[in-house]
This record gives sequence, C-alpha cells and structure tokens, in this order.
Amino acid sequence: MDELNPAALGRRDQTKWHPWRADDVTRAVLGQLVGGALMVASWFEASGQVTVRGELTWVNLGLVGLIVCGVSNAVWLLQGRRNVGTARVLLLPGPATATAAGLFTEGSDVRVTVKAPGVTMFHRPDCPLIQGKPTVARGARNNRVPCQVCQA
Amino acid sequence: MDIFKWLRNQWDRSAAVAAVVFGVVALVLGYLGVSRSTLATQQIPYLVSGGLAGLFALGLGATLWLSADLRDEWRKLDRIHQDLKREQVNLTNGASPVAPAKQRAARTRGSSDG
Repeated sequence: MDELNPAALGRRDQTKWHPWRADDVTRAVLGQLVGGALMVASWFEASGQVTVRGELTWVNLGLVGLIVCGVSNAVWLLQGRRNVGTARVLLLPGPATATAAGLFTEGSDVRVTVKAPGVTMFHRPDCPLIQGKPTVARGARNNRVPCQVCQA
Repeated sequence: MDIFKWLRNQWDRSAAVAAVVFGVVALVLGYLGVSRSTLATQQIPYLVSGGLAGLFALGLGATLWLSADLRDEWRKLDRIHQDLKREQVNLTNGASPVAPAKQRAARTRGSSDG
C-alpha cells in the first residue's frame, strides 16, 4: 500500500477523490443531478400554472429536490468524516488503543515525563520532543497521555 | 501570491465561494422578484427559482468547503503514514528511527505554527 487508501478501510478501489471512493462520488453527483433536475422541473412547471394550487404542487416537487440534494450532501460529508476518522485511529491511536496494544503499560519504568509541574504527557526516553529537557521516570497513569510523536 | 495558482490549487474552496455567492445573489433576486409582484401566482415562481436555487447553492458551497477541509486532513494523515512507512524501512535496514522522528516533529511544529 503506497498511500492511505479508502479501499483499505472498505473493499473498494482507491480514487483520486480521497478520502472518498468512486462510488461515493457517483452517489453524490447523482444526488445533485436528480435534486437539481427536480428543482428545475418544479420552477419550469410552476411558471406555467395559472392557479396557486397548481403552482404549490410543483413547489412541493422542488422541495423534494432540495431535500434530495441535502441528504446527498450529508451522506457525502459523513462518509468522508468516517473514512478520515478511521484512518486517524489507525495511524494515531489514542491512549486507550495504545495501552491495549501494549505500547504503554501500567507501571512501566521506561516512560518519562518532562520534569515540570502540571505535565500530563509521557514519552519514550528517545523522544525528540524531550531531548535536552530534565525528565523523570514515571509509570503510565490514567491522567497521563502518550506522546503522539514517539508513540508512532 | 499568484491568484490563478491559488484558485487552481484550491479549486474546491474556490467553487465553494462561487456557489455561496451565487446562492446569495439568487436569494436577493428572488426576494426582489417576489416583492415586486402583486399576485401570489406571480410570486411563487420567484420563490422556486430564487429561494430553492439559492438554498441549493448555499448547501453546495458549504459541502464543498467542508470537503476541502476533510481532504486536507486526509493529506496530513497520508504524510504521517508515509513517515511511518519510511521509519519502518529504516528500522528494517538497521538505521536509527530518531532522525525521521525529528523530521516529523519539526514538520509538526512548522505546520502548527503556520
């Protein structure tokens, strides 16, 4: 796998539309086209009516088109958000995931924190972010979180 | 900054801004059309063409802008993924993993500054 790929999160081919897949793009474009067509038809037909009742019927069709577009947009954004979130969890596991994976264990003596009051992040001793700073060995605790740089 | 280069690189945000501008213009024109009509049968077509089309364009613009944000986030994750792969190769080859980590930390600081 040369780069992050939505196909790795699902089962589809990767596209240039990261973080979406080709069928997500197709679904979104179809939604916009259908919704837009309904609104154009609504406007065209409503303009030709001579009674309010006749016009309102076509206004309802336009509203349906607007709803179709809105739902299509929402699905598009939620799918992208889901793929980005999944990739983030895979690449940058949080404290719970890291502990479960055995990266940071309770009471381990190879974790250090910067020696300063109020510090809540712990690091590996070779973490570049703490080089040259006074450190103290600490075990992992619930209120401490692993450094995202040296954790990776 | 070259505006055309920016527009080409940020085509999704450019399209989002264009859609929002179009939506606002459609809403204003729809309002003007309705306010200048006396009969309900004359006003309703403006409601559809101005109101619905304006809302559609505003929604499209917001979606395009949020999509651009998601795409940017994906690119950042992809860069981290490339770093991790490079580090894995270095570890396999026996090289020190500290150098790529320093590079990544410097890049992280640079991007957070920007």
